[in-house]
Amino acid sequence: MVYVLCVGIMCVSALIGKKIAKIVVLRDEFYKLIVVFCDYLKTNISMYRMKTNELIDGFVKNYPSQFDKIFIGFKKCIGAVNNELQLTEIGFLKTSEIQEIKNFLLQLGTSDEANQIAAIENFKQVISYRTELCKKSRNIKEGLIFKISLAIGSVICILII
Amino acid sequence: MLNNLLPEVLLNAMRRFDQNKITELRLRRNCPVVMNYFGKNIMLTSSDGQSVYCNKDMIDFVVRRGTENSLYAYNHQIKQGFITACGGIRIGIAGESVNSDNFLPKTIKDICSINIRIPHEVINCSAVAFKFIYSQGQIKNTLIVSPPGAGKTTYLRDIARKISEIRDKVINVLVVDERYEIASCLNGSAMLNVGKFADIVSGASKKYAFTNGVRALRPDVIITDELADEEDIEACMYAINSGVKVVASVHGDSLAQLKSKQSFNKVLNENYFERIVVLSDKNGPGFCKAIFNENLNCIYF
Repeated sequence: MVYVLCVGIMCVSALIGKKIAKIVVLRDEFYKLIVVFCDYLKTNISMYRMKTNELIDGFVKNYPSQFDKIFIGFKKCIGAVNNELQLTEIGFLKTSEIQEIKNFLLQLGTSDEANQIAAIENFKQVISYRTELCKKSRNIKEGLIFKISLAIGSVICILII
Repeated sequence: MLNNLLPEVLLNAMRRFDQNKITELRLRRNCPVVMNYFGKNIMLTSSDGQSVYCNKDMIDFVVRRGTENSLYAYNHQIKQGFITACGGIRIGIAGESVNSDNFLPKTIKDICSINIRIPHEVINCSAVAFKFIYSQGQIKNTLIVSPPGAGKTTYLRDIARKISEIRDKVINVLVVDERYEIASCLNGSAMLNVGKFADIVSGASKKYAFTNGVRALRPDVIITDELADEEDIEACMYAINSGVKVVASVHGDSLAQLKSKQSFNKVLNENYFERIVVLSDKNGPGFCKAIFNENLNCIYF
């Protein structure tokens, strides 16, 4: 009975570890996709001058991912006045990071081509730097968090036994 | 289509009116909103009888909705002073022009007033003139002379439709829609009906559209709006000399006024246009006042 409990505790701690580690993984993958999104915006605005709604729909179609719902949620933000804006909850991002994305989306579609491309380029630079940080963080933390949670589970099992 | 474009305060005030009779809505900052209703300009009032006043937010709202939150996509139109919104609605813009070093406009900022022109399809409005435009089994080169607001674009659209309805014939029409007024294409689809056999070139200059259209699309008839300058007229002459029929419009209120324009001397003297239809707005828009043949003799009055 005790051993069954210990196995259960180890499984739960493994699950918890994986879930916490997933945040780091999601951050890394999300920011990589945002960099691709910026390039997509730049190309389609200069070449085809596609409208912002079409840009989002086209991106989701051409680059399907686990973040599709978030990108569809971005459509509601574009052109909204501040008090109308409700960005989708993105659980793995900090409030300041969500605000940064909000500010970028609010200004999308509010200026001519040259200024719009410049704004996208600026945002891409910020996000590229963040992508580097997230990649380093993932390399270190992904395995570590899982091991720590297993270790905590083991300690609890030892204490029980 | 207006529901997506106008703010709630304007939509509420307009509910009391017949939407099919509203042709224009003028919004000027800090001034009462003016509406063209049944051909008359009246101030828009709310249900309590008070005039509805326009402010900066209202204009910004309409421009944002009209451009679908994509100003960069519409900058080429904004530079020319208009935006074509969904449903063929044309929004004329007045504001401060931001010019480049050689004084060519780059964009318009601080928009102070807009004129929202609402198109209404009037089926068969060109019935009277069409009997003269299509005769002996052929479309005649036609010039529609009309003052502003007299319905020449609606007329041209109806002519394009009627050409596609000619029995037992497929006549290929090229619609050169430089300012997105005739067909109002959006995302590749015509918002306004120009018939089953129409190819539409939107946003291009008449010179480009005529030259490349004649070569690549091989139309039987080209329909275009507002011949403004020598370049437009030369494009028409090129098409007519290539054997393509042209139906075009020009601003003016009479044949005499047209003759006084130097740029039209050559086309009138050399009988390029076989029919000249003069429209008037005195008995309502689209009223055909007179029709002349290539020798400038009146054949209908």
